[in-house]
Order: sequence, then structure tokens, then C-alpha cells
Amino acid sequence: MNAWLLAAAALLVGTIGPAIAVALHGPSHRRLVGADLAGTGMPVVFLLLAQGYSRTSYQDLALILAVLAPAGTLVFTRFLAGERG
Amino acid sequence: MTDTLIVLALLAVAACATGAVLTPDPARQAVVLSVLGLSLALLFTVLQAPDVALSQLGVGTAVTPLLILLTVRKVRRSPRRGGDQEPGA
Amino acid sequence: MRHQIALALLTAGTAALVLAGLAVLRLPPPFLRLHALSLASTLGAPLVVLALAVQTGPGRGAVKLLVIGSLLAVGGTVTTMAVGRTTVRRERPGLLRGNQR
Repeated sequence: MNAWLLAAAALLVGTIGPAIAVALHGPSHRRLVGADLAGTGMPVVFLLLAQGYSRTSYQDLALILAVLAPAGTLVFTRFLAGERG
Repeated sequence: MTDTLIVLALLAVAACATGAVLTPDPARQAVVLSVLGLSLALLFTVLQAPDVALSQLGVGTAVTPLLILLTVRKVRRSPRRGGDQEPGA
Repeated sequence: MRHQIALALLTAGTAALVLAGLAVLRLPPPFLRLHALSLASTLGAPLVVLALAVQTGPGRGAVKLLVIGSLLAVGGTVTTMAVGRTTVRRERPGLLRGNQR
């Protein structure tokens, strides 16, 4: 119905889907690429959902995720880089 | 349109959860679990429960993978099991 | 008029993000895949956020959206660099010898 919700569905299929597919194969540092792409795409999806449902308060989710996702990815890179010794 | 979004979110959660169960190595599983946390937050948002999604974001994307990675590092460095081969290599 | 501009920006941003998703699937694994990450975080996400800000109009809401967009761009760039460094360390362990912690 709504162009914003349509864009959110397109992003779910076209960006989050491949990110999940990448995150399910290979060694852990290759899976990290999928997790990072999901961490970039998911806040955008949350923003589009907030606009599509016309609930402005849903934008807080995107704000929290935009802060938390890079922090989580940095923790992952730190641990995985030092894992081999 | 709303039903399509719910179905897509459910598919994402199902794929991530199945992948997390079928992954044996904990270090790889931590990455899958962080994506699973994101998918669950998306599902809760699509079902109009943003406060649950907020707590799921905090727990699922930051705390759970961090705990798993800390445990993996601790176990692999302990002297008794230190000679084990690394499944994640 | 403003709605049309927002829709154009939204289409461009969604296309960039979907292109990044396809690229992550199609490019070969170790290093080429990393290029898709910077496309998503520096082009796709800011375009979509800009579309939403144009649709919202001037005011506090647009400022909040732009703050989220800049957070996404900066955070995405930093994590792309970190993921790239981890990939190099794991795939080619001798390459960064002089740069170890």
C-alpha cells in the first residue's frame, strides 16, 4: 500500500536476506561480513517501518541500533583477530 | 502489505535460528546469534511491540555474543584443554 | 513536489542497498566482498535517510533523522575498516606483521 513499507520489504528481501545467507556460511571472520551488512541494513528498515506505520517513536529503535551495531561489530573484530594468538 | 512484512520477518528468524542450531563451533555461532537478535527485533517491531524489540536489541546484539566470545576465549586459553585443535581455524 | 523528491531519493537508496546485498552474494569470498559493505553504509543508508528527512520536512524530526544517518555512515565506515583488517589478519597472517598490536 505504502511506498515506505514496500521499500522496507524490498530491503528485507534484497539486503537482509543475502546478509543472513552470508552469515550462515564459512569461517567466523567471513560470516562477520554478513553481520555487518545486516547491522547497516536493519536500522534503515526500522526507519522505513517508522515512516510506513507513521509512528515516529519507532525511530528510537534505529537510533539505538545505529549506536549498538558498530560497537558489537568492533567487539567481534577485536576477539576474532586475536583468536589465533 | 503488513502480512507480507510479518511473513518476511518470520522467514528471517526461522533461517537464522536453524542456522544457529546447525552451527557447531561457538565462535561462528556467536555471529549467527547476533544476526538472529536483529531478526527477532525486526519481528517484534513488525508485530507492533517496539519496547520488546528495544530490549531484544540490547540483549541480542551486544550482550549475548560478547558473553559467548569471552567464554570461548577463556576456555581455549585454559591450560588443561589448551592443546585442543581449533575448530574455527 | 517534495513527495516526488523523497520517492526518487528512496528509490535510489533502496537500489544501492539491494545492489550491495547482491554484491555480497555474488563477489568471491575473502576480500572483494568487503567492497559491498562500504557501498551500503556510505551511499545506500544516507540516501534513504535523506529521503525520509525530505518527506518529514524541516524541524526536529528531520534533524534526528539526519543524526541517525550520519551515525550510520560513520559507524559503517569504521566497522568496514575493522572487518577488513580482521579479514587480512586471518587470511594472510604475515601481511600486517609490522602493524601488530
